[in-house]
Amino acid sequence: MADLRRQSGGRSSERPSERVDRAQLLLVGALALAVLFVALALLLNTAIYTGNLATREAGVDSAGAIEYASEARTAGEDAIRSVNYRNNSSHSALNTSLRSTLRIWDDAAAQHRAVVGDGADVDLVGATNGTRIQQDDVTQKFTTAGGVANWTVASDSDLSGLRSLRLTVDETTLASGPSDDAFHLNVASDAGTRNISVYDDSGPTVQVSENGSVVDTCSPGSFPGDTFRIDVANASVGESRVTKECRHTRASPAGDLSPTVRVENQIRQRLHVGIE
Amino acid sequence: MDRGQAHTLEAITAAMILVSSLVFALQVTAVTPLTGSTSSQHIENQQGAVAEGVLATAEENGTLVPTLLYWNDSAGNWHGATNDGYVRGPPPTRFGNVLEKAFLERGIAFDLTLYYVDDAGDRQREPIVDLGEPSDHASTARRLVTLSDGDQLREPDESRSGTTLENASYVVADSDPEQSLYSVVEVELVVWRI
Repeated sequence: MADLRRQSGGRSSERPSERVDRAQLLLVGALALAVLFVALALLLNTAIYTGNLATREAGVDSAGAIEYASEARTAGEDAIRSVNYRNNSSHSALNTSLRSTLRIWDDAAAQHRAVVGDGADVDLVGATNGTRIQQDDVTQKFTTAGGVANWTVASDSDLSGLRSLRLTVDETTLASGPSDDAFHLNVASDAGTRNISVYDDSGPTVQVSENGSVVDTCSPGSFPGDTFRIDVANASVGESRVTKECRHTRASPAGDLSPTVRVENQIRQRLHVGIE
Repeated sequence: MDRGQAHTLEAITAAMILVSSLVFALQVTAVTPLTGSTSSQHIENQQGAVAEGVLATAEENGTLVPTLLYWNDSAGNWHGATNDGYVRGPPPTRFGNVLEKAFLERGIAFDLTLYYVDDAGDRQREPIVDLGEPSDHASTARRLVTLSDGDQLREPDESRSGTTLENASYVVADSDPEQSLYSVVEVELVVWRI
């Protein structure tokens, strides 16, 4: 340890050791203060950082859950479309396939989510069986198998669970004018009869009548190629991507007791109907 | 009396200097410009939000999946990429351009990685863009993507090649051969300031 006293040479009249000691003490004191301030600054910074950490999100982030639900919904739609297309044999086969493909989706997706600490699960709560009427052979006119033009497509119990009716129309085959020769689609129920006529009146035209009186006339507008689509349930006509609203095509109001779908004058039309 | 006090003070100060220099020496090595700290917290949050937004937008406007399908079927790799993915910048796709504009041009580096579940049920990773090891204050955004059998691989100009995933030798295997579901993958975007 250093000797704090001055060695020699000081004037005898003063008290040399006292004077020098005081200066050294000042230095040491200043140093101690400086270190104290630095330590305080560090402490303050730590306090601020702790405050910052404390106000951060506690890790309960709903974005992951919302995204999972949204993705699951899309996957469910794809799965229903897929099983309807690939396993269209019986309701039980459809149910089994749907559950299987959803489980495969859920297994993979849940594993991705588990890595970031989110538990997610998709369950098929229930499936409602539906009915689809379709004509697979697009080369055939929309007639019965024997070629009869005026016929009843489905009625009463056959129509339970029907959800949509879509017609793909080849405009070159349309009759001109709303004559009796034009293609008619009749949807009859206790609520009345809806009649949809499709004909050519300087361009394809869709006319909707209710109980004999015309309620709406729509045109699909311009579309590429010769075919346009009439989506009855969706109340629209036109090309698949650009569709125009045709409100009154919406057939069979809710609460129908005995609906019937019937077509007439199918001679000159090539139509494809798919009810799904 | 004075002498004793001075000695005590001196001893305490010497001890403090010794200890604090030791602490400082230990701490100073770990403090680099990339170390997470109070000042970088805000930037971290902001970059995390931007990464989340970029992924969400890309999925919404349909540019995310084409980048995942930007696969050279014969080479078994992304078009023009190394085995580690793209290491010099994003892929030349529309989503890649967004990444370039949103991050690289602002001095932010990123890694884009595809995660999938293989036949054995293990989670595997396939790097798409690898610009290095993320720093301590990197932000991460993730997105689930469902691939379908009918999705087509993309040509180098990002047009559809006509080869569907069902018939391609893609990095991810078909998890459901019975149905149109191909697989569920996760896209992870890690961003950090350079």
